[in-house]
Amino acid sequence: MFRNYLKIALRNLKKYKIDSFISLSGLAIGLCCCIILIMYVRFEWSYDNFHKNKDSIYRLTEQTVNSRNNEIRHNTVHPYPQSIALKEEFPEIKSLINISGGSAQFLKDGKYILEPIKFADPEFLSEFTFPLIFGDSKTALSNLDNIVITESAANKYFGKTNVVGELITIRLRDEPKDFMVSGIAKDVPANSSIQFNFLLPFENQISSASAKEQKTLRESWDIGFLETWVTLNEGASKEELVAKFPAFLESHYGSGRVERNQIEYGLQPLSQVYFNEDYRSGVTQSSNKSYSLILGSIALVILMIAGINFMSLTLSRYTSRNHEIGIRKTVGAIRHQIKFQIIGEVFITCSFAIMLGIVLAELLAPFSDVLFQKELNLSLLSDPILWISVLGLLIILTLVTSLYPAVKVSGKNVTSLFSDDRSAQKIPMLIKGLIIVQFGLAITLMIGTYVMQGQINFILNKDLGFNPENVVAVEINSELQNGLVLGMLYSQEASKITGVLSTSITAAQYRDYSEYGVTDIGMAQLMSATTLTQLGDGIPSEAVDAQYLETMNIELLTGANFSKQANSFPSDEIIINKAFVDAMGWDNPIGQILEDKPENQGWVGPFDGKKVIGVIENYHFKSLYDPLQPMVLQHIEAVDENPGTILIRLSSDRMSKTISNLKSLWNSIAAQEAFNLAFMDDMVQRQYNEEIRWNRIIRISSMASILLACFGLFGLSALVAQRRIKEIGIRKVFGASIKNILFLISKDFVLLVICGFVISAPVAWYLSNQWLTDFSYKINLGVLPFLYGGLTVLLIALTTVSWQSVKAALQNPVENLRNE
Amino acid sequence: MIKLRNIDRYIDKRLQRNFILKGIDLDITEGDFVSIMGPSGAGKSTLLNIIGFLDDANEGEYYFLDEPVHGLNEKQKSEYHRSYIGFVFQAYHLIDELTVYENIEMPLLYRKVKGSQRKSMVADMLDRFNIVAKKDLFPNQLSGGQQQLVGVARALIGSPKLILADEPTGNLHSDQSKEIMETFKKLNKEDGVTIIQVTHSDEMASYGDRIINLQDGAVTENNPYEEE
Repeated sequence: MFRNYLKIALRNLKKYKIDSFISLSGLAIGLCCCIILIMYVRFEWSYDNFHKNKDSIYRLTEQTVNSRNNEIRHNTVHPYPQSIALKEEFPEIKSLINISGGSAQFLKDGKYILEPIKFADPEFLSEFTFPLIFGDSKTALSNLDNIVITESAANKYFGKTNVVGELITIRLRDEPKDFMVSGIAKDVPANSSIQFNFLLPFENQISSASAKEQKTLRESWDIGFLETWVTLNEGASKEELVAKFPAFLESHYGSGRVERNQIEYGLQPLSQVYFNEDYRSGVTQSSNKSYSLILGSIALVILMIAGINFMSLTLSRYTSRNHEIGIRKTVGAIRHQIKFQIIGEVFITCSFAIMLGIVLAELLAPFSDVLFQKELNLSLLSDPILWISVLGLLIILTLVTSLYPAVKVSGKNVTSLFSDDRSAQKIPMLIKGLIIVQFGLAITLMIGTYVMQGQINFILNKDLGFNPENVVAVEINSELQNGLVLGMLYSQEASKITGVLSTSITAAQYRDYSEYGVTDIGMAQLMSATTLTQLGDGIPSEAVDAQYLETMNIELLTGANFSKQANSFPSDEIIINKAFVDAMGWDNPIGQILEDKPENQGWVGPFDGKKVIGVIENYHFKSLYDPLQPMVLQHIEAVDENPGTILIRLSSDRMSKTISNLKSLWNSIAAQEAFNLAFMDDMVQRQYNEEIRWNRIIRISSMASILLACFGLFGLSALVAQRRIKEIGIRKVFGASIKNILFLISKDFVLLVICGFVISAPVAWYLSNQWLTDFSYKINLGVLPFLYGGLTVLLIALTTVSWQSVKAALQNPVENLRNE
Repeated sequence: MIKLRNIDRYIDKRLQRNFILKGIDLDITEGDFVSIMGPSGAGKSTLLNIIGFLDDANEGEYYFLDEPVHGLNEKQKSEYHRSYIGFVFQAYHLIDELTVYENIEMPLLYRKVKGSQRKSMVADMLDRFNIVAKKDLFPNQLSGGQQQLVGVARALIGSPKLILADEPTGNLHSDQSKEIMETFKKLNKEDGVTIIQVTHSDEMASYGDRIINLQDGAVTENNPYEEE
């Protein structure tokens, strides 16, 4: 008996080749997409799960309120003496680990290569789960001149992994120093929010600085440069410790400051670090949780669409099998045998499709890294959760798909099964509903994609107040003792190269910081404390030279630029932006002298007594996630800072020639330093990497879902055209044109797509608005994305349906009528 | 064997009740070969469907082998289909996806006949109708007459006591029709199978020994030829 069912099922699949292909491959493709997307979502959610202490390692966080605009700020960076005080005053802290990120130059084959590094206290390796392959976790970081490197770093620098005891030359600041490799760590898993290849004992962060700077770093409570991570003793409670923080803050910072900035300290478990984007940090990566939720929902939507395809095609095929069921009943099949047959058949086709989907996903998984831009190393087949959920899917899909026809068809009276059921020619209500849902989902995704695309284009094309196009940033190690001389020399020489329009030096390091979880590229990164409440909790500033405005195309509104004559600038001159003027409420800003001296306190703000000589147009020195802020430009020679970046504006023709000239100039001036050049516009764009990356993922997924939906529509319209072939024949005989027939078949489907649109529009509107709230600068949500989204899907759907309608309409009516 | 009393079959339209059959009284004894005749729309097929449990009467009583059919549940009806009744249709009603062999075998599957026994039974049947060579063909590869032979073979494989044939020769030309009718006659005479057929043709009806004329849902003449 079972073999008989199997035979029928297979022969039916063969007979309705297109249908079967569509319903099977549709489900398989949908499942494949879904598996890959869900795998990625699970990867995102698995961040830091490998740490044994993920719930008992805490990061000290700070929350302050900006008194200027009541904006809440989140901060993870703390001063050094505070760590010592914490350790002394709170016995419940078992170990306190200072961590900070940075970069250092590693000597390899006679050249220095810039690598990101992490500084960490010795307990880092024993409290976090970063196992060593060679070396002892407990002692690896206890010696100042030790270094722990990962397996792949060892391979890169030594060509082998067991290099414990070997020396490696590193320039933390200016001076090279040898470090001994004391441990080889296993490569950090991709799903770790803390990434490192090189790990140095934390003390190096301070001891590599100049003696004066060391003193400041060790003693100042105002300079935050490290993250404080703690583990607690057994029996100590996190809540109790947090409750003691206010008193701690008051005793060390004074109640005035704590109250004014509403400082609050908290402890954030490692397990919550990755999805908390409020605390962006240089040590840990973070990600937007809502994106992985969106992606997860898209995965389910795709699966639903594929499932609905499968259902509607299977359902409509069963209506054409009434005849067979009727025969089975007359020879004595009872109801539950018919049910069993239908359910069994669906089960077989369904499991076939699902197996196909899994195989497809397994084949495609290696390529998914390209889409996600992360190395996932998915192992699908060994994943028990996959198999369990797939099994669940199989059962659910089988039951949902087969139960309706099973109950309906098996209960029918034989004569009605044999009679030409006119209702079979129409699309059943249930299927209509399913199509509406399907297209509603697809249109929602499409609208969302358009909104995202619009917002990203808006951001990328927004006038930033400066022009990053054709500007390159050449990195210069700001720790070099002769950095300023070197930088100015290079800048001068470079300006003589043909194709260079202007050059400028700045103390800031313009770089892509995205791997540190920071979106800004380093413009005006220096925050100075201030007592001026109009300016909130600090003044961002940057030390530049006189060519800066010209090179960056920043408009000077009133006043003067810094003098271009060498050594002719008074050190108290500053240039401010328009937002600064607005915040201070000055009518006539030029010549104003800042007063930033709190009463009865010895402390003086760094801009106290500075004279405003010029006002520039606001420019977006931070990413567009942040609103414009007041800021200050100072002359780099006035503040005695080393340059971090040399900015060069190039003319747009023969750029590559100019760049190679710049490189050879660098090699003749600073032969030992590596030449690192980056385009400003690339860097600016990379600020939105996450958005662009997610936009691509979501765009591709929504395309997949629409294609799948149309896949189903294609099959269904073929079925309808097939079933109405006699009607079409009759109509043609009586003079219907191809256009009439086209309209006849298409109109039902188009109506369904329109219904889907009506449902999806408000949903899409709500979701898009939610997403846009994250941006300080955003597009107005107009009608266009909705129009585009709806029309795109309608057009695709119409094309799909017309294909079948035209085919049906072109057939010779005589043939169709004779066949009956 | 079959006893119909005052059978009504109707369709309710909004204001009006359309009778397909009205007040049918009919007795058929085992071993009969009955032909039901009448113009289109007289209710012949409906009557046959009711006799074969494919359709239910709205009113009246129906006894099959002295068992009240109106009291049977679906499972019991299927039991009768398996063991007592074979159907032959004008449109043959073979399953397109199954071969000749498989079509004939199908009723046995529902009766849970063992594999080896099934094989020999189907082989017998193929032999009897001279269609052994065609056993692996699909219905659409056969002529109408051959398809109907398969239909008859399928009806007979369960060795039913009653064969219900709805215009079995309606789609066939006369030679094929005769062949089918001879088969029926032989079955009736030699195996004592009761046969009820619906037909338009006097010639086909003459193979039977009793004719029932239907007009507008009522029996107008019983055995018109016998009285001559």
